[in-house]
Amino acid sequence: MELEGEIVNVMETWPLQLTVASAEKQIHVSLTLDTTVTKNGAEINASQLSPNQTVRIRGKQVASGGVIAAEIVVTNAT
Amino acid sequence: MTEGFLPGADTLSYGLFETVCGNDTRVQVTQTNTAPYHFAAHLRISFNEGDYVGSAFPIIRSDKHIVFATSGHCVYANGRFANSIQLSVARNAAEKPFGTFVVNGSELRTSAGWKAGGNQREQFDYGALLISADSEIAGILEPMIMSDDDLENLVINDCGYPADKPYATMWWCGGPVTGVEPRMIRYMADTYGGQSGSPIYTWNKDNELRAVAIHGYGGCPNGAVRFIQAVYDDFLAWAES
Repeated sequence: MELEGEIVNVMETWPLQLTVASAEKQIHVSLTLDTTVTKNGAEINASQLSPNQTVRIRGKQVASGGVIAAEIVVTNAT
Repeated sequence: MTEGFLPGADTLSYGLFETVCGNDTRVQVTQTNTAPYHFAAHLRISFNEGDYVGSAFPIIRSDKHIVFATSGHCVYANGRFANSIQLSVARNAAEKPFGTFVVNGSELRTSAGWKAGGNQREQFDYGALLISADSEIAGILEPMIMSDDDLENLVINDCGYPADKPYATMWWCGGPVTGVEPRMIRYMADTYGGQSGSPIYTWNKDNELRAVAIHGYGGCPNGAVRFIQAVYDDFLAWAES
């Protein structure tokens, strides 16, 4: 599944967990060690994710409604 | 910088911050078996989606359990508790002064608000790991409920296990509180993934160490759930569960 939204919270486990606000609701997003994070076409460290960034996430939805992220693209420049 | 014993954050001056906020002011703790560092615990968390690193600290010893406080998202995510968590108090890389406790999912707790979800769930982001009351650890880091006014003037300390450093090494950081909300505090400190569940601590008027919040959120500022009476009551109930 794909999800677009804004990062509301960065939870500091490692790998990180995020709260992402989509148009409809807030969604819990879990990163894994295999999650790739890119910005402006280049791979970046997941630690550079921060609140207020807008992101496009591709991953697997779980029964709770949360998403296990395979790929996160930062789509704004903040 | 590496030091054995560190000053309180209120004795230091702060300039720029990164999340790592500006200059990275973190300091490695190598003598982890001394106060206040011997309260911090390294967590290796096993969820269905993979293993995660977090932190925790012991706040209550009842007749039944020693209760470790941590973030809700360290014990409960995506609608279920972790399968198990390896908890190592005062860990310093391969050194584990108190060994490793394996805490199964049945010995994990989290708040009703965190389980329920919703847009305000960060305010309820706390949980617990329960181990046997007769387990050997260094002691208990008692919580302290502070007024808004007292929190607003506070410089906090935090020690935990950031994942950008050598595995399972303990690091101290600190910084000023920048915001006080009914259930959360915000502060500028150099934290990193792996520090969720670590103690935000200070000293009371009798110079006794006390935990005032549970670190959980990165960004500049960071965020932690405050110890208020309702939060402490949940931990007391879990201690008797």
